[in-house]
Amino acid sequence: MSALIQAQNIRKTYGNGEAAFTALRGVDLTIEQGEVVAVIGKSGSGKSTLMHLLALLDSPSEGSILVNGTDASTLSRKQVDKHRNQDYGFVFQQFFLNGDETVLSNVILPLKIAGVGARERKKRGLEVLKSVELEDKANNKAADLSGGQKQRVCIARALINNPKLIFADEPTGNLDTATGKKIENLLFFLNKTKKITLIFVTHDEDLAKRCQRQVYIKDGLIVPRARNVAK
Amino acid sequence: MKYFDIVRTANSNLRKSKVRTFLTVTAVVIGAFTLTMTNGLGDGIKSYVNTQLGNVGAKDSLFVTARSQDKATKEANNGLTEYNPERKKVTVQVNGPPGSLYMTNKDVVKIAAIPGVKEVIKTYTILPDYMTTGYKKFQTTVSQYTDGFNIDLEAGRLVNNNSAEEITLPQTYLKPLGLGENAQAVLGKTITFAFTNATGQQFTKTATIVGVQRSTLVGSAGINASSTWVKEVYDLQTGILTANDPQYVYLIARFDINSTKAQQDALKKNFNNAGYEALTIQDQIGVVNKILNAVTVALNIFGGIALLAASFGIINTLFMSVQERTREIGLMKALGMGRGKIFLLFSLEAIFIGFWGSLLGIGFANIAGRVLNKIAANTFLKGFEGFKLVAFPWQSMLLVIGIIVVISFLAGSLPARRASRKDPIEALRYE
Repeated sequence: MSALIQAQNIRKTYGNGEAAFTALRGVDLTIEQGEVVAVIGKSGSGKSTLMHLLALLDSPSEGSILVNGTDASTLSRKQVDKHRNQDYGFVFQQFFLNGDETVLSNVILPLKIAGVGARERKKRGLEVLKSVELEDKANNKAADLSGGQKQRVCIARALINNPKLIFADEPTGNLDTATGKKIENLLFFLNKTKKITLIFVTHDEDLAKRCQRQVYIKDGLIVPRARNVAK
Repeated sequence: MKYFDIVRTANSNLRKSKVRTFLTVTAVVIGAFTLTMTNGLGDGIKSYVNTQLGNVGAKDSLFVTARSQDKATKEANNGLTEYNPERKKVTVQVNGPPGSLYMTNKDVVKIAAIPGVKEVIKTYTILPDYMTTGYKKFQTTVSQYTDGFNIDLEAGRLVNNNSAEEITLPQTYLKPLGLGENAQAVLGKTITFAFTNATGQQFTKTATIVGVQRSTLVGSAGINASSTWVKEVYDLQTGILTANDPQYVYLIARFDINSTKAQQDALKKNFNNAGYEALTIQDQIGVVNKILNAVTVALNIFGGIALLAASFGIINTLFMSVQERTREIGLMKALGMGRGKIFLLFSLEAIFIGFWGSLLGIGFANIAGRVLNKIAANTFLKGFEGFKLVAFPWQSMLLVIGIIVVISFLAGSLPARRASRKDPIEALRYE
């Protein structure tokens, strides 16, 4: 069985000529189904670029990314969009919720994009809100929620398509320690019960320690675990 | 995303910034209002002119008069007209206005032989001394009705030429004649006309009112009588003088109604070569229509300018909307929404602005038009029944909506394109 995602010697350069900046300089990484991986690095280390490439939000300048054994560069834009919609979930540090809209309508956005009917959307939206214990807030405006609740809405939104993999970009970065812990626990629980692969992008050593595998990034390269690398 | 969901999302996005949407829609409303009003004025006046064409003549008819001499010959003679025994002036006063040239049965035969002429209708000129209903006597003129003249009637019907005594008369005649003001009520009543024959004796003849003509700005309103009646009067009036060789001041020549403009021009040239002046109904009112078209175009330019300004409003509104929703666009793209759908989402917002704006503008224009028509009917158009100053045929309104929706789409396509090309990573970057 092929790996969920496989990065083969990927390089990423922004701009060209004198102003060219190389964010990734040859990275190999394999992520298997059900793994919990932490990508750790300082800001500017290239960890965000790596996540964007793995999430197919961008394409590498060199090297290739295999998705279930298929080279992503051979897929059409439509196929890539569909893949992100159906197989990936995203949890962001800044939540990116639409504050004017209800919690429910925020959660069902991926289903709406996928073209699922309104009744089915509502049913699945309420189910997934139940799993993050927010079903009573379904009709509240997203802006009225607390930070922890907002992040739970984000997780619900990421979960609604039953993804194989969730990318969590600093998911606890905007939360206090206690709330952050709860969110972490929720994500780890989903990994255990639903076998959802998790990729954390973080500079939080404590969170990284809880993961099965840690990938340290420094100056666009994967480096062996080093003390203080993230500090 | 399903198309239905895109439509709903676009609609709800517009509702999110109500003031901005309202202002942009208002700009479109002004444009649509102006365009609808200017078009409506043009349509109103043109449709009036067209319904009144019947007062001028039938569409397949030429109004034929005798021509004394062609211009070149006249100029060669320093303006003097050569004597032509075939082209005499009316001498017997009962035959028509003295001094005008007349035609005879010879001319009727000659005209009938012109290629393209289907039929020549003999028209007799009769000169009543007065008309009366027994109340007051009035001077008047009576024309011979020709089949195909579509006189604009307030009540009743057109005369039947085979009937011995039928006339239509203008609505304005009713009151002076003591017939009241109700056009419907006078149908079937009779009017007596008095004539003087060639020997100087006065005689009377009655006719029944079968129709009442509306007042008109195009052509003329007057009494039209059945040809049978007119011929009878003519024979009595001229008596032995010309009864066997009538004098015609004008004749009506019919041609194929399906003939082209070029064919009609050729036909008119044939008449000219044969020594006649021939005018179609279009010749007689064509100038009016040309002026109307020019005025409508000029007015529409103002509507167009208003719309141009409104379309910049749409561009601006959507650019702001795209800017504000950068993150939302980024998120939707990250979650797998394609470029085409994003483009559609924003284009639809522009189209909605255009659609609602044009609908409201047309609505206001309809209300304003109704008020204007009412005011006009009571003031400067008083007496011209059936003249709607502003008219709104549904085809014109659909056209206005269509044009505005297309303009809105074009205006929105620039911001929509920018939205569709946003890089999700850039869009989601935290500032």
